Amino acid sequence: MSPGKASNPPREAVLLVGAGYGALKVAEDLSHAGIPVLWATRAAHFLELPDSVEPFEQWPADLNYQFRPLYLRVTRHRLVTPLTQARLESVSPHGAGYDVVVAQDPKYIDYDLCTGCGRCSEVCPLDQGEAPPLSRTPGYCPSRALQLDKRLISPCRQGCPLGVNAQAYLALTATGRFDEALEVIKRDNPLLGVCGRVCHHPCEAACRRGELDQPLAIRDIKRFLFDYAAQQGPPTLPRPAAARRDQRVAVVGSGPAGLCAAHYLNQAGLQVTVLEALDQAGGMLRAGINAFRLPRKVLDAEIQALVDSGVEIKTNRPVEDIEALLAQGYRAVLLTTGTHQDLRLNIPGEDLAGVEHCVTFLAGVNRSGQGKVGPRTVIIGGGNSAMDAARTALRLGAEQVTVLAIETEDQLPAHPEEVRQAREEGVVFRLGLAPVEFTGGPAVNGIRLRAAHWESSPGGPPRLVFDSEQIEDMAADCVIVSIGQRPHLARHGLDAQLTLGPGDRLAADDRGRTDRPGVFVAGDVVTGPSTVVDSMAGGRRAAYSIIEYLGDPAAGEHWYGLAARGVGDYPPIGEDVPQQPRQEMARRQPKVRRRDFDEVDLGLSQAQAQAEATRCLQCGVCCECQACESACADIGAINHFAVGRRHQLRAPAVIVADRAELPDGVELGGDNVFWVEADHYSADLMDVLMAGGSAAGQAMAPAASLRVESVEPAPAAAPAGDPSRLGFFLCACNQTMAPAETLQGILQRAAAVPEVAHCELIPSACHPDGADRVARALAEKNLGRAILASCACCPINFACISCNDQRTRVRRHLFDRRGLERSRFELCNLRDHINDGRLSQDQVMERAMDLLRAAFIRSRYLGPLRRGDTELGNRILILGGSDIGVSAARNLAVQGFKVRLVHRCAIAGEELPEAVAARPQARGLEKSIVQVDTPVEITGIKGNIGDFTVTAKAGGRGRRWKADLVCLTDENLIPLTIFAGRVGLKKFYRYDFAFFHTPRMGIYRVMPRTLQRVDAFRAGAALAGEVATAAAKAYLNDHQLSPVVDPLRCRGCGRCAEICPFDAAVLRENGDGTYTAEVLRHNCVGCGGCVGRCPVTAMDIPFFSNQVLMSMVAGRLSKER
Amino acid sequence: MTLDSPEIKRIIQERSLYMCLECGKCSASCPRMLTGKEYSPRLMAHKLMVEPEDEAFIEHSLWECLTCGLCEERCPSGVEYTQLMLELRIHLAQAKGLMGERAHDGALHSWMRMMTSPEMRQNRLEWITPELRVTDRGDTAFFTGCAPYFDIFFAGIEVDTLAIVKDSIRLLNFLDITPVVMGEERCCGHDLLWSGDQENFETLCRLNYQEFQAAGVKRVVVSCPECYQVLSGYMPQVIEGFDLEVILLMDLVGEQVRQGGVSFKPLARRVTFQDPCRLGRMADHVRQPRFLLEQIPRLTLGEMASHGRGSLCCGNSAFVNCDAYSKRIQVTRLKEAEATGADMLVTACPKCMIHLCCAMRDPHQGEPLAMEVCDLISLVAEHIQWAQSEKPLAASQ
Amino acid sequence: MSSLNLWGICCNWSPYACYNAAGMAKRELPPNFRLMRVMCIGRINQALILRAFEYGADGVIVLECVDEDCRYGPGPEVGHTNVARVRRLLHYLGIGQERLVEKSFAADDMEKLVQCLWDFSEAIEAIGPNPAKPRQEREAS
Repeated sequence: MSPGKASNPPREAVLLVGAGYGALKVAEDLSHAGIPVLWATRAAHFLELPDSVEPFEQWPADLNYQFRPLYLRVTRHRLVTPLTQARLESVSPHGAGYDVVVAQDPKYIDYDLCTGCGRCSEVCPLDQGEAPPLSRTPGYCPSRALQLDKRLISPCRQGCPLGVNAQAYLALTATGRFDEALEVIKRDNPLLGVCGRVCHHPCEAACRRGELDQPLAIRDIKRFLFDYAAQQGPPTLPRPAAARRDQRVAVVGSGPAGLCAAHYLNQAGLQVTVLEALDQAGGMLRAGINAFRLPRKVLDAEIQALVDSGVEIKTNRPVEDIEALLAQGYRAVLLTTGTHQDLRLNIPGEDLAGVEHCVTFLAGVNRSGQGKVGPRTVIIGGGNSAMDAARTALRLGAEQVTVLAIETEDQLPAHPEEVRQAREEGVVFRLGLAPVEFTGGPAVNGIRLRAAHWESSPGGPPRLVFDSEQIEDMAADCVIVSIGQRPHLARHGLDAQLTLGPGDRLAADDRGRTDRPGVFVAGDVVTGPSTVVDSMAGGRRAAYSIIEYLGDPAAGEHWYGLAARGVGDYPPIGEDVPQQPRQEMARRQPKVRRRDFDEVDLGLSQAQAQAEATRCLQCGVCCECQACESACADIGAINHFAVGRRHQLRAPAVIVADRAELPDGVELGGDNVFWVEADHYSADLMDVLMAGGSAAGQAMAPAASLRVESVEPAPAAAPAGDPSRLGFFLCACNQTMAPAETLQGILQRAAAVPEVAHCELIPSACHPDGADRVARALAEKNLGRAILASCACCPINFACISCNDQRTRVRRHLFDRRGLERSRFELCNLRDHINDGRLSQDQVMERAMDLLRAAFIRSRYLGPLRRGDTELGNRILILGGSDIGVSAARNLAVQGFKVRLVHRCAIAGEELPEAVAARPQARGLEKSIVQVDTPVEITGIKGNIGDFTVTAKAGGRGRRWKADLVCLTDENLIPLTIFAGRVGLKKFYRYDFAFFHTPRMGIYRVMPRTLQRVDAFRAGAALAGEVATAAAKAYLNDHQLSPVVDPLRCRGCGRCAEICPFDAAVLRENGDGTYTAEVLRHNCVGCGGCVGRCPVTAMDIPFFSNQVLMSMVAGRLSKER
Repeated sequence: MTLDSPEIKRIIQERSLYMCLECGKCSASCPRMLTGKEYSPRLMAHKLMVEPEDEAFIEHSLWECLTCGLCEERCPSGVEYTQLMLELRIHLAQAKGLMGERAHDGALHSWMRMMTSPEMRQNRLEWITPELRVTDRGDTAFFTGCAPYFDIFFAGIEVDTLAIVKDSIRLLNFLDITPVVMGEERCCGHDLLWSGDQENFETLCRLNYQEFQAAGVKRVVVSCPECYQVLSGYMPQVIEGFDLEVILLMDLVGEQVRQGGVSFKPLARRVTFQDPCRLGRMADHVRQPRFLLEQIPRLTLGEMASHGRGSLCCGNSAFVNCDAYSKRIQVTRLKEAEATGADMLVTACPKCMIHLCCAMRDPHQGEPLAMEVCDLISLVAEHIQWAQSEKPLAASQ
Repeated sequence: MSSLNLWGICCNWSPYACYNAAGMAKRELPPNFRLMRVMCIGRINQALILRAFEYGADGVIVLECVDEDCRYGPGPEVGHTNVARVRRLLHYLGIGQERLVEKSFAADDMEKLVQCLWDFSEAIEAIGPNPAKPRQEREAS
């Protein structure tokens, strides 16, 4: 398909800024006059009124419906490039015109593709909420397209080093969609089981719910999801879809950083091998974290999932030589060796028996399940590892476990939750004390302590300050020093092969790149001891750096761009949001759990998890779960990663419909800026529209050089096919039409109809692919006629007030783009009438078949529509030299029309009004305007648009003028076309908002009301604009429904002529005193009133022929079906 | 299906088509043909006999016939062309579902068919005013026909065919007859029959006959020639043991006039008379209407160029295939009427009244053709009086 | 589901916009209601209404634009005339003039239309079936 206009705007066009009805009128007139328009507004749609505008006083209740066809015609016109949520960035004069830059916000939904099926909304977990992210565009916008409200990325997601989309999985969990929630997590976190248990959840710290009551228990929900899935089977990770490239990467170390990096490398299609020095993978996850916090089966299962997804893990493979690895064919090496060497206190007695160091201690216990502590065990240090050591000591049988730390309670580096659990289990805390010596020998039996605290020192690490000289002795049979770790690179001799930074850590940039090409580092070995999730994020960053290094520069684009992507603000927390406590997990009792290494936390129940997830405030509005994107896969209209665009263009004229949309500080100057102004703030709609028409008319003069033929070039006609072969196409509307079995049932029933030669289910009829499928089937199966059951229902040219974007797109794709003959199609609106939501399958089926019965009846009477067009010249005759007439004449002459102005006119037999007679001749009219000044009596206007003959008498002499279009610009001439008491005039033009029209196509007039609205100059410009729209069409199409008369049947009774307010049905004398009716093709509007009046059915009209209507009654009402 | 089926052969045979000499008098007299329509009874006869494979022509022409009977009148060989058309229409309507182009989009046929429902409980007698004496049981019934319906449907051309019915009852009352007027009378079925719908026609016949029997009727008086044709001619073919006497109101009045005792108020006008085909040619009632008109003192009758059994049709029958040529026939007829110098057109059939009025209401051609139209029965009812009485009937209202 | 046949003749403009809006809003309508659309009520004639009854409609509703809204001008007036005449015919036929209903709508009268169709349905249910059923139905019953 051709790309949408919005993605491919013109380089040269009139710029129209601002939304509203006046702007709509501008865009209508300009585009219909053949002049390209780029229409930009900050609003979400073009009828959004500026705040400052009062509601119109004279606003007919149903006006919005009447604007629909206009809105559609204009926004989908091929010469209009409509940009919503777009700002004028700069305007600078260039010659007589302007250079313009327009910036547009990201468009997450492509309105050239969106079919408005609403499936996105159905699958959206937040659609039922108070602020649904997906909403229909406003009621009076004829598009059923949806809008997506995306704000800043939620704080929880921003707070997560991995950028895990917590908002999305909370939303999905709240609605019980656990599998999808898991998928969301897996996008950003391959170790969700681990993180669901041991993550320090910075997301919760960022959670805005904390401002109201307590943050969401995000981690616990993640754990619930993992456990939920574990009940169904072992965890899985997606196998990479991309073909595996022959590029091998080695990851050294299998801790969180290494595993996470391996996952993303694998997902990118690289061949990853993880080399682990120990006999089991997991790194610090296994060595440093206790089984009662992280059960081994969880860790093992997740590592197995990684292996199953294609990651190769080799254990017992210490790496000592990086060069050798590269030489083995690894294109890149990632070092994630962690920090497995304990820091020492370096105080006397540290080497006594019974003094252990934390990592060594924990690794021993965790790996072999063995460890020895004394009855009185003291843990030195206040971090998470210290808590682990303390609780492990309890489980190993220590009678009393004391944690000794310099920090105060508030300063403890361990997570408060860990501290709390340790306390519950009986761990005693002694704070503000620093060990100065271990006593005893050969085994330790005590610790000497001094009161101390940390003092921060500017620019350096905090400094230990002793508070007193007093020394306290504390008994201890076992001491575990837990004050931190450092890399152990020296153990394998790696330290010499790479540049080291502070603390013997490896030096690298913030994306894990070292100064050696192909060598990358991540995790604690770079950062020093940190958290699981931070290590994983480091691994992921390094993975993207590697993928980038191996040739895909966009690898981490979306992830890195996460925070920058959001726009707008979070919605404020409503005052009516009730406080609601956070759900707590069930835990084993402290006295029981301290007896073994079984897991302490029991997890949230399903009800708890859902209740907790429901507390989420959904800060970002759209949670970006992307369920909608999946649902829209066939349509392809949704892109969550869309970016904003800037458009540059040259504008010969600028029209401003709303001053407030001009950028701050921009002063627009020059001759070719026009304002839909003053009146814009009027409370009268007609004033606003008139101002729009006027601005458009004025802009046409400088923009005349851009004029192109407004009528779209017709594509090559598709072959006609065999009319006896009927195709039946059913639009599934992206699976929203009806349940699949109902659709199949309909297809089966349709296939059984004898004339049906082909049946097909079309995923979406208004989508370009849908039209292509229909066109292909018609050609391949030689089908002469087709029924398309969708939402389209059009008997006319897709311009009635029930129409919408989808229906017009069916037309555009099938008829305009594919060149299929309109008259071969019967369009049936199933979608809107098939189901009111209360019907059973059978009833839906029955109703569908009832609607289709009508379609089948109609399809039998498909036949050629009235076709034909009239070429228009550019001769314009203006009768009446009022100020409006003169203004219009000037404008039209500048636009290149051949204008004749007749100055003083009266209708034959009537007095020339004094005001007209006394009016001075207009001066300074361009020479191109032929001015006839003599007082003239108009005796008649004969003919039709494109071929008028005006007869007149002037100075006793007869005159005749030929013209394509005629304007009556003095009031006294109006009775020439609008007869007193004529029906059908008052409201007709309301639908087109074409003020200057008369019932006779091609004759324009000025009504007194016009003058009250705008000054004569601007009224003239508006008139000129209106005239130019007709003239520039160059071709005028016949109304497709225009009736035909059978002259052998017509009695010439004239009832048709009597009823037609448009002078379309006329009687012609046959030369023998008899008359026959004739339908004038241009004037006809296709209502069929004349056909209904005909007593002898001598007239007939396509689509609503006598035969069709008769068969419809008989076929649909009778019981024989 | 071809048109040389045994059934069609039988119809042709029975209606003496094989007697056709191909002299062409039928076409030379056919009003359709004479107004320029591409339709020829002579060619139709030829096709039916010799080229039955030309289905399109035959099926088209079948509905073009006015069934006015003028060709038959002129035929030297006694071909029963009208009846032939009727039987072929019935046969092809049944066999192929043909129904011709129905005027007024078939509205009249619709309500006529609706009347075939036995459950209907009509309100068709609401127009009966207290001074009209009617009863629901008795020997003599008056068959009103479709006038109440026509007047509503044709309100646009301002005809008053109901006046004929009211005047008929008034005349019967004048003759001291209190007729049975049946609340559940149906359409006589003439238009359904002549447009080929025999089945519904027969249903109507049976329903009407049941009503007659239920009311104890022995004699049916009718004023409409079409109803007369059906009740006297076709209903007996449908109803076994049909035992009703069917009589035209004008005959009843004529009888009374001939017996003496009545006189007529004078009317100083020149009138002309439109012979309805079902009355003049088909019921051979050319003399009776003229006899009645002659009774009205000072009234002069100007005969149109074609009159009596050679009279020109009002342009349409059975509301089938009205068209530009129907209009031309009507215009011709109205010009004939004008040429008599008459200022009143007397009709004897509500359809003639409707069709000719329709042509007169034409905004383009109607003005010069417009003429006062009055039904014979109304004219008689307005002017008849008992010889001794000075009090005219009209004054008793 | 009622076995009665409800038939609607609907102008393409305001009433159809309402009907369509009701459909899009998934509003429940009488299940036995069927609609025939024409471009303008000016298109219909007496025959079209009568034919619905001939073919077994138990009630017919003519849905048109409010007088001054007619896109073409004379539509509603034609509707009024035809409906008035057919109602008189129906009355004479004993079918009952209340079986023929005429209603006019503005383009945003969706609620009114839904209500009106239910009222119509209820009214026809109350009267019962059309006594002038088509032949084949009479024979079937």
